[in-house]
Amino acid sequence: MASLSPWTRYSLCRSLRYCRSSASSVLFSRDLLRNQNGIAGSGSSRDNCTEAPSPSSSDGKQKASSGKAVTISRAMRAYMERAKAHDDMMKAEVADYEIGKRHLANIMGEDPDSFTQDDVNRAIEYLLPSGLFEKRARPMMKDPYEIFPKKKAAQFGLDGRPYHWLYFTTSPNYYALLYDIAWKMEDLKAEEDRLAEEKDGKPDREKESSDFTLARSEWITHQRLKDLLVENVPEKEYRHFLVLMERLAAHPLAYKMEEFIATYREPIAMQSQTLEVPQIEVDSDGRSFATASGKRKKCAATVRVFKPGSGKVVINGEDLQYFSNFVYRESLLFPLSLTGLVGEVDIEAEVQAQGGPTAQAGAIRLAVSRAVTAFVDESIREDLRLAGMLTEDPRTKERKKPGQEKARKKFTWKKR
Amino acid sequence: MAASLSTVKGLCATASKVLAATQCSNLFADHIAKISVQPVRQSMYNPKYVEPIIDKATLEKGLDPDDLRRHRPIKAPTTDISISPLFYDPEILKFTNMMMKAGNKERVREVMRKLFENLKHMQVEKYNKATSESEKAEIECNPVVIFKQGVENCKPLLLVTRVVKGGVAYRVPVCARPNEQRFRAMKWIIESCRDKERRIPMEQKLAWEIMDAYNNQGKAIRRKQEIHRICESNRAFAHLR
Repeated sequence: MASLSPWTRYSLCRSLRYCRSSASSVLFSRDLLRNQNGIAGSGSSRDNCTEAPSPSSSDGKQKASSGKAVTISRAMRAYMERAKAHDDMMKAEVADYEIGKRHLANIMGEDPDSFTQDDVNRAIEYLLPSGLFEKRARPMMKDPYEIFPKKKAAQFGLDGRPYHWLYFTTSPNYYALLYDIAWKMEDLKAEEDRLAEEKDGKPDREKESSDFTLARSEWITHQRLKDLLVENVPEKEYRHFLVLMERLAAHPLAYKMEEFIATYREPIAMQSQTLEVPQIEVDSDGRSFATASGKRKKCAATVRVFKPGSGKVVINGEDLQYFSNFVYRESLLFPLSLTGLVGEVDIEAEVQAQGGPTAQAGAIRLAVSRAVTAFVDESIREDLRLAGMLTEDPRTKERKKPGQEKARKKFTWKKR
Repeated sequence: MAASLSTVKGLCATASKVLAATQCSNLFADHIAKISVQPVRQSMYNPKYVEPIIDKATLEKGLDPDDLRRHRPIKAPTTDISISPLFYDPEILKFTNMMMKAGNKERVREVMRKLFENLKHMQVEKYNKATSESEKAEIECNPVVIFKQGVENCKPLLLVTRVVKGGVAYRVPVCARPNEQRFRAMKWIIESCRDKERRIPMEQKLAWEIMDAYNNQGKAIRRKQEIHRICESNRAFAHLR
């Protein structure tokens, strides 16, 4: 014993202790096999676990044929019980759901066999109308597999040893991802050094040909990352992931990792393609016009823009002097001067006289910009959007807080 | 000799690598700061929204198809910056806001309008009085250029801060950040005008002061020089910053 290294001695002691403590959990392999089949059977075809438990049945059989006793770790046993309970529960839930769906179909007077999830949603909305703002708080009936969170399969074998080398970090998939990113970064650095020696200032042709860009996509959301990893990733860890990915993507040779980076990005549509353009109409006098409405704070405005026109502006039956302040008059005309339509269109605006002049001017400005898009071409429309003219200003008065004088202002602090 | 040369080369190579590394780390530092620092106060806008382009010249130039702003929603500009895309100027806007009292922006805008008018008058008068062509060519007649140059001339390079060390307060010269430079310059110009006689309208006093600053004279410039002098006399404490 004296010749053994401290580590060996320690592990020996450990294994001895385990033998002693796990004496009660010795099972014959036949029982184990039955047990295992129970889990595998209950897992069903809709098994949404990421990793199936890998204690291969061939191993079990080998041991079974030799007739030796096999120990199952306490953790594994606990897992088996949990998995069985979960599967039973899910089975019962699914059966309930199927019956419920048929009942619902009968209530609605439709064919129960061809009753889809869409029909269910419609029926629930019809039978149990809800005015609740939060959509998740409204009554719903969904497949239990959509409602109950996904669970991981066993992360360790029959002997209680984890499969994943990062098991003891408690979120192995997440840390494995970080590990991947870090090594990809190292690879890029090595590649950069190699290229620097090789090329010596020559332009990188591969880079020029690749169209790698981050502009057309964005990082996956926190929830999406959680779903991908089947792990609970705290907010802080998600931000850490973002930092690492940003770092990787900022590397000059990042285009070489395009595929890897793309798996963690979601495409976003070009904003100009999502714009709604009002229809051009013709009034009884034969003049073409477009109608649009705008909002700012609590004020709403409806505007008709006539083209061709002479630059006439009518606001609630008055002319531009409806606003005494020059700033408001100018801000109304801002979209026109951007598009070069000053003096070429007529504006007719109806605005609620509630709220101050800023709100009224803002509402009219937005409505005018929206209406003007009908008369201009694509590129000018994009200019209007880039200038923020087509965005509704969401800023409103901030509420007063209890214990404070105003929204932000505090009471004077007195010691006594 | 050859050996020594190679070592020198190696040193240079390592030095350049180190330099590259430091630059990279700085780059990332910016990046990380952007993500990890959470704003204390909430904005009404979703963080995906980006700032609008008010400047007409930039719009006319056109954007790169991969520019972020093509793919992101844009914030709506506030009422006072959506005035005229031709005359939008962030510096003038800042000056206006700094001069404003009790939210009375309309009045300050009027003062600014008259200030530019006064500057223009002063310069055109000089221009007309000038006899030779070379003299005329030297006179700047654009009031916006004069205003900007005047503010630029008032910007201090160094400022003093108070550092307490071992119970003794030192006045330590520090580099002034661009925003602080601009703030000081504008503040000094406005304050020096407010000190002057009350019966003269503000736009007149401002026009004189800015004209002086344009020529590197006047009260605001003297205040800048005063600060520089204090910094110079306290240069022994510069290491305390």
